[in-house]
Parts: sequence; structure tokens; C-alpha cells
Amino acid sequence: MSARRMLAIARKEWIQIKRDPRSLAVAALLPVVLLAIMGHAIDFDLKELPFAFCDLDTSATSRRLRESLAQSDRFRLVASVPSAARGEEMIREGECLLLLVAPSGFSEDLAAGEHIALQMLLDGSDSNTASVARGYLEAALTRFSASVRSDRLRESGMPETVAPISISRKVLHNPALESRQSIIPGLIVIILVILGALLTAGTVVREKERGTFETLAASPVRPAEVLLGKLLPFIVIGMADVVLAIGTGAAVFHVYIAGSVTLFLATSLVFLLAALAVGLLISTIAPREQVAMLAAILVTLLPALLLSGFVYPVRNMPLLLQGISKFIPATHFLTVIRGIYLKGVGLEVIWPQVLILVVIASALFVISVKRFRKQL
Amino acid sequence: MRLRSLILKEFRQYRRDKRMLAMTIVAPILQLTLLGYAANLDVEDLPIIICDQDLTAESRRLVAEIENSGYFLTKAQTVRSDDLMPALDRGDAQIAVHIPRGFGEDLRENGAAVQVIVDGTDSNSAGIGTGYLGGIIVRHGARVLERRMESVATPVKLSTIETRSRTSYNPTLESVYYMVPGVLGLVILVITSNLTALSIVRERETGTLEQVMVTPIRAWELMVGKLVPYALVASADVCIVLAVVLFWFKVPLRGSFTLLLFSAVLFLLTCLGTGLLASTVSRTQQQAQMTMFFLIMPAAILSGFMYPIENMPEWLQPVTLAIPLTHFLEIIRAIMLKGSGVAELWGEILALAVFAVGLIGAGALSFRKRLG
Repeated sequence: MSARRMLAIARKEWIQIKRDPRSLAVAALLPVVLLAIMGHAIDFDLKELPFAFCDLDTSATSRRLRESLAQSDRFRLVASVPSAARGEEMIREGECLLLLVAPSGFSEDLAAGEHIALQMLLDGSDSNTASVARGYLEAALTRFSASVRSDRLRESGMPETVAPISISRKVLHNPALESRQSIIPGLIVIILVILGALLTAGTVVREKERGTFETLAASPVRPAEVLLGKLLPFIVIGMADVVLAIGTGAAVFHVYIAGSVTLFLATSLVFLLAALAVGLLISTIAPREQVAMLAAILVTLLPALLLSGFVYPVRNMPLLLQGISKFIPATHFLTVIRGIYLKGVGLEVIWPQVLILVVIASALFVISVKRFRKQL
Repeated sequence: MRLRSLILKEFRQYRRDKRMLAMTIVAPILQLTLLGYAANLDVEDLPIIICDQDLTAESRRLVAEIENSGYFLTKAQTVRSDDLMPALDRGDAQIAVHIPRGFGEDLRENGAAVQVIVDGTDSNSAGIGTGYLGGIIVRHGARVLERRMESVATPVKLSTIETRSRTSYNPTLESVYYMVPGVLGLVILVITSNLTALSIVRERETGTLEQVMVTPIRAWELMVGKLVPYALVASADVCIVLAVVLFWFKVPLRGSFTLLLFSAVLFLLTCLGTGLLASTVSRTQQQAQMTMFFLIMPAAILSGFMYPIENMPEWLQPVTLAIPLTHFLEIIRAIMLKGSGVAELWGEILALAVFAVGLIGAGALSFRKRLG
């Protein structure tokens, strides 16, 4: 292992990168653009869900129900429809997402203390939005019925213990429950995965495809030196991207690192190494650059996007997929990054994940070197 | 004749590359399965830690109700409130419930209090989870109130409101139904535009494009010869994906199959055009790949593939209309889930057609210019 030979390879790689300023620009801009687009586009906080209200009762109480929904910022009243059939039509035309029907006799039943079942129709074609909308509506109805109850109790002169149990709710780390706060740190993981795979997946194959591989094989440079030398410039680019991403997150989305910035950069470096090593391994296996690129997307980006818990909780997945997700570096880094970014925890909490990342990164690198040596 | 041999050559090259072949078949199926099984935002078995310091019949009843609701998975029960925060910090639990001493007594006397602490790092689960938990606690309180009413001399009958909800198009709210048709669009986009762009740039990179240019083959023949094979590969992928969608995931197809295929072809043309354009602005395969990435990632996100467009900021929503995938997703979801036809969808189909003509035209022009 000679540092001089490794640096020579790194310098050669750097010259090659510099000669292609557009790829460099893409690599540098990718984090900022992706973060800006995704940070704005990914928002699970549903607001102003369009609903139609069918009032068959036309009483003060049914109007009060309609107003209580229309005035909350969760819902937006699109139309008061004369019949449930018309509301259904509006859902089919995509003009509203849900329809609530106040049956005739609603206010009388409510005054008599009867059990009331309200009819609700929901557009289920976007299942996630639909189930969240249903949750919101049920919460709104619980509040409405509580206020009706309290009125009834007050009228009959009962003591004012309306809500026998009061709940004090405390939200840690993200008091307003903005999805942005969870998404931005997760996006940094995704960006690193993309960069790692895209930048390195081509490096070794390209030499093979262009025939410069033999020249390399004939030189006295050792496999580990070649691979480390090839990685070095990308490590620099990757870390620059991490800093850019943190800056964008803070400047555009006001998401700041709660914990130690040094620890964050250090763990990012470990993860970047793992991500680059995956690309490197693909590069030593793939026969052509085209194959390497597609494979990189398949085995790195897709799992990181879908299986790491970035958007979809791991606990909801079938057991097999839960098992697979444990082998994905992004899963562990996501825990680390959310811990440092949002919870502000230190190494004492996240050391197991960091350790796993170190193990994965070194194992991948060793395998790449072995494969590379065999090909030489 | 020349065109045919060009197409045949492209296919032969493609067939020789077993790994590439495997990838174009495996990729869509893998994508589909992952999305079908992993993409689930429902809140179930949310890890919870419960600290019951009251240990009376009342508090135990509330704990049992939380545990039996199906939304939560009790990770730990404790009597020390100091245990709660570390469990949340370590991520062992996402929600902590604290029932203080005297809860049972307070409930009988006047009003009791329960504290809920939630880790907001996963905002979606946190929001929905606390909603469910709040509902359980409020209902528990309502029942206590009802029982108390029974012992009063002049009881007030209190009504309860519940919803009888009915869901159209997707009654069980399966996320598969929503995600899986979208995968079809993404697969076409990734396979067609990527492969077209890379295969053209590869010829340029290895220098074989010059060789072809000195032959009597015309520019348009070369272009069509490149486009047709990948269009066919993508069509094969469409069939595979459709088969998996319909027969494995059992997503209903309520609308017209012909209309679906027609719009898929239109969309495929827009992807070919995109790939062609990307190839003319790239010198190396890596450049082409990066350019495609720069186009595909935002398209995947802004098209409403994963996240509803209505949720995006107002200024961003018009941007999504400039992405062909947005229109295709709208069409395919409407055909499959709602059974919509031309009457409802002609606007979107027209938009796709305009994109197809525009992108192919622009791609062809710039391809000829590059050659000349």
C-alpha cells in the first residue's frame, strides 16, 4: 500500500472528472435541486381536503356540523349537494374527496340522545390520502359530538365534567408535526445513495470497456491503491454535497441539525464510503457501463427509497422485507441521521448503527478489492 | 430493408447481453413487488411504552383498551416515569403514555389527566398515532361518564355519533391499488428513455456511430432503428407488468383495455423522445445517465407517483402538468380504478399526444443536427 501511488490514481481520476464539467455540475447541483423539489413536493400533511356536504336535515345542528368542518383548515367545503347521488357523482368527477350526509331527523335524534350513524363516502383511489382523511373526519366528529354532549349536560344542569379525561400531548423533536422535518434528513440519505452509486458504478467498467484496463493491470499499482485512488475524488465531491444539502435544508426549509455537526459529518463520511463501495462492487461485476448503471439504480436507489423506512415504515412490511431492510446501509444511516438531526442524540445512542455501517463499508470494499484482483 | 437490418442488429446486440436482458425483465417485477408490499403508510403496531403509576382497576382498563386497539404494540410497561424518555430517545418506542398516580380516583371524582409523549421524527405515524390514541382515551372517558349518568336520579341520555363509511373504487384502501398502476408508468419511463439514450451515446463513445454515418444509412433510418427495438422491449415490459398487476396483485381493471394500451403507447413515444433528446446533449454514457437521472427523479416525485399533487404548494402544481408522466398516471389510475373512458380523459390523452409529437420532433431535429 503506497500513498503516493494511490494519490497518483486519485489525481488522474480528478483530471478525468474535471474534463467533463457537466457531470461535475450535475453531481454538485443534484443535491440542491433534488432537495428543493422533493422537500416541497413531499408533504403528507393533508390540508384543505375537498368535501361535499349533503344536508337532508336542514336544521341548525346540521348546519353547525357543516360549519365546524368547513372552518377547520383540514377540510374545504366544495359544495352543498341536494342528494347523496349528486355527491357521489362529484367524487367520480374528482371534484371532491369525500361526502358526508346528515340524514333527515339528525338534530332530533341528537336531541333525544339516540345513537347516530352518519353516512360518509370516500374516494379510495389514493388509499393513503383516503385513510388519513377518514382519520381526520372521525377526529372532527368526535370533537363535534363532545361539544353537543357538553351543551346537553349544561342545559340539564349537570356538573361540568364534560371530558372526564384530559390529555396533555407533548410532541418531541418536531412539535408542529411537519413532514418536512422527517423528509429533509431522509433526503440527504437518498442523495448520498444516488451520488455514491452513480459516480462509482461506472468507474471500473469504463476502463474495461475502453480498453484502458489492461494498461492499468500492467502498471505496478496494487488493487487497493487503484480502488481507493478512484474513490478519493468522489469522497471529496460527496462530502461537499453533504455540506450543500445541510445548507439547503437550513436556508430553504429551516431544518437544522439538533445534535453535533461534527458527528453528523463523520457518520455521513462512513455512510458515503459504504455507498461508494456498493457502486464500486457493481462496477467490478458488471460487463458493461450500461448494465452497471441500471444495476446501480436497482440495488441501491430502489431499496433505499422503498425499504429503508425513508417514507414507508419498516414495521408495516412483510417479515421477509423487514429482514432485507436490515442489510441495507441506508436503513441504518436513516436511524443515525434522524437521531442526530432531529433528536440531537449522540454516539452513546447511535453507536450500534454506526458500527454496522463501518462493518458494511469495509466488507464491501474488501470484496471489491478481491474481485478486482481476480480480474487483474 | 436497411431499416430492418439496423433493427435486427440492435436486437442481436441486446440478446447477446444476458445480464442486460435479465435486468430489463427483473427490474420492473422487482420494482413492482417492492412497491406493492413495502409501500404502506398505514399505522399499525406502533411501538408504545406505557407507564401506569396508578395500578388501579380503572387504569388497567384503559391500558387494556390501548393494547387491544390493534394500532399499538406494547414494547414495555413500567411504573417509573423516568424510563419513558430514554425509550423514546433510543427509538424503542414512538409513543409514551403516562398514567399518573390517582388517575382512578380522579376519574371518579372530577377529571383525570393522562400524558401522551410522542416522538415527532416520523411525523406521519406520530400524527395518526396520537389521533388514534386520543380517540381511545376520549371514548374511555365517555364510557365512564355514561356509567356515572346511570347512577344519577334524572339521567340525561347522551347521544353518540359514529360514521358508517363507504369507500368507492378501493373499498379496503389497499395502497397496492394506488401504487401499482403507477409503477407501470415509471417502468416505461426508466426502461425506454434510459436504454435509448445510453445505447445511442454508447455508439458515439465507442466510435461506431461514425462508421455507421459513412454508410448510405440515412439519419432517420438510424434513429428509427434505435428507437424501435427499445420501444418493443418496453412494450414487452408493459405486458409483464400488466400481467403481474392484474393476476398477482389482483388490481381490478374497470375501464377499457384498448384505451389503456393506446395511452401506454402514447406515453412510450414521449419517453423515446426524451431519451433521444438526452442522447444528443451527452457525450459519454455517464453524462447521459446523469442527465436522465436529473429528468427522471423529479418526474417520479412531481408526477404524483408517490405523493398526491394536491398536497404540493400552489406554485409547484402547474409545473407537474409539464411532465408527461403526470398525465399518464392520471389516465391509467382513472381507467383501472374508476373505469373512466375517453369522455372523462380526452384532455389528458390529448396532452400526452402533444407531448409525444413535440418530444419526438425535437429529438429527431436535434439528432439530425448532431449527425450533420
